[in-house]
Amino acid sequence: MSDQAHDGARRKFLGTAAAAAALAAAPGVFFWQGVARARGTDGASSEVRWGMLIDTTQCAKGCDACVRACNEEHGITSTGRPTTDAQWIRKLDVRDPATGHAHSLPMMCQHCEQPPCVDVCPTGASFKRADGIVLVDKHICIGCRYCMMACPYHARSFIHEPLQDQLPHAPRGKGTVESCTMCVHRVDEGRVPACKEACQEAGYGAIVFGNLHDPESEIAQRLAKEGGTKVRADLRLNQGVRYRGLT
Amino acid sequence: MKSWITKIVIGVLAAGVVLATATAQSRVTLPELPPAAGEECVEPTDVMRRDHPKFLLHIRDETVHGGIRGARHSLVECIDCHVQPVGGNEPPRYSDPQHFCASCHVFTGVRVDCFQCHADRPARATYFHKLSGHRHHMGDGTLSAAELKLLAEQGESHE
Ligand code: SF4
Ligand code: SF4
Repeated sequence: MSDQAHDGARRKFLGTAAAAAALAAAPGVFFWQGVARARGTDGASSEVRWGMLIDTTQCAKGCDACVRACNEEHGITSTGRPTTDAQWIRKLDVRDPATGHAHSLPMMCQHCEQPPCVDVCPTGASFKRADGIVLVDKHICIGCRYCMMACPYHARSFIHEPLQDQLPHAPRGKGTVESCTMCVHRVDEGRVPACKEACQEAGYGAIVFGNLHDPESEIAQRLAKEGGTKVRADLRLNQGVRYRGLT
Repeated sequence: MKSWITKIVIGVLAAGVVLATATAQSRVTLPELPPAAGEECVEPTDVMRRDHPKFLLHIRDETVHGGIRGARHSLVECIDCHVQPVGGNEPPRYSDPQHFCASCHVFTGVRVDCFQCHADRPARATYFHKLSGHRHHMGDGTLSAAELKLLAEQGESHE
């Protein structure tokens, strides 16, 4: 985290320097380039890799607090046609037929380090931020849905119909693909994703969120101690979302 | 994408000419811009009229790809200030010619697709508060002395 703060400070300095240079060179003309950065906000840094550990031993069958929180956070509502409704996170109940051992778990975009959705996107709309969060830039997305085909986790949704009354922090619209953003708008403010918060409030605390690159973080410590499974690890995507208790 | 921007910029420039001509001759009904909540825009009116697409495009990529937030020229801030409830009703939508953006875009015949995805009205809780209460304008109280000075200098550079 201190690295991130450092990076933020550096950006602040660079922004200030750029603004000063712009003023000196041509006041008024390039003025706005400086202003856009004058507030010195932190950006995504590769010093950080955001991830989640989902402890399926704590996740309750029948609880969908995370799903409801996600829908509310991003203004996702049902069209009444569930087969085409957007779904950023879903609850799965899985059972090993051999042993009868059952789990309940939330499944969403796994924020792959080697994301197939990004590989196949013909426009560059699917991309991975420096901090490992995989997003769709809807300004560029042409709605071809290649990424939906490529994603091994069925994590992405296509918006088929015009939307209105979207939330200011969650732009969404017809003709583009979307998926879990790891609540990037919250993370950039130093908050935790809505699903994690809701799971905590529901009393299960099955979702741990944090910086995989920080050995002091709770997620890194728990992964070091308890281990974590990557779903379909054979695909070697090195996901940011890990599960505990799957085996 | 480039040609789209060029069209908008040309459109806005053309609008400027039309506006100027119209004012001189008063033959055309000018758009009526609804009042904003704040005292002052982030830039002088002539700069905003000409450059608002540039401001928005510039920070768009920084925000989406770089995660750099809190810029002065954000679409959310434009909407928060310029789209206000009318006579105790909900604020207008972009499809309504009373909407701040629509009022001018309809006049100039420049169609934008921003609001297919972006909220065309402030979040419900926002329009019951004055702009000065908004977190981006207030900052989080951590602006350094150097930043304040910089902002003050930049403010002066327009005079
Ligand atoms: S889980 Fe799917 S949508 Fe998410 S990064 Fe991996 S391939 Fe892309
Ligand atoms: S639907 Fe959009 S994000 Fe997905 S591959 Fe096509 S252009 Fe890229």
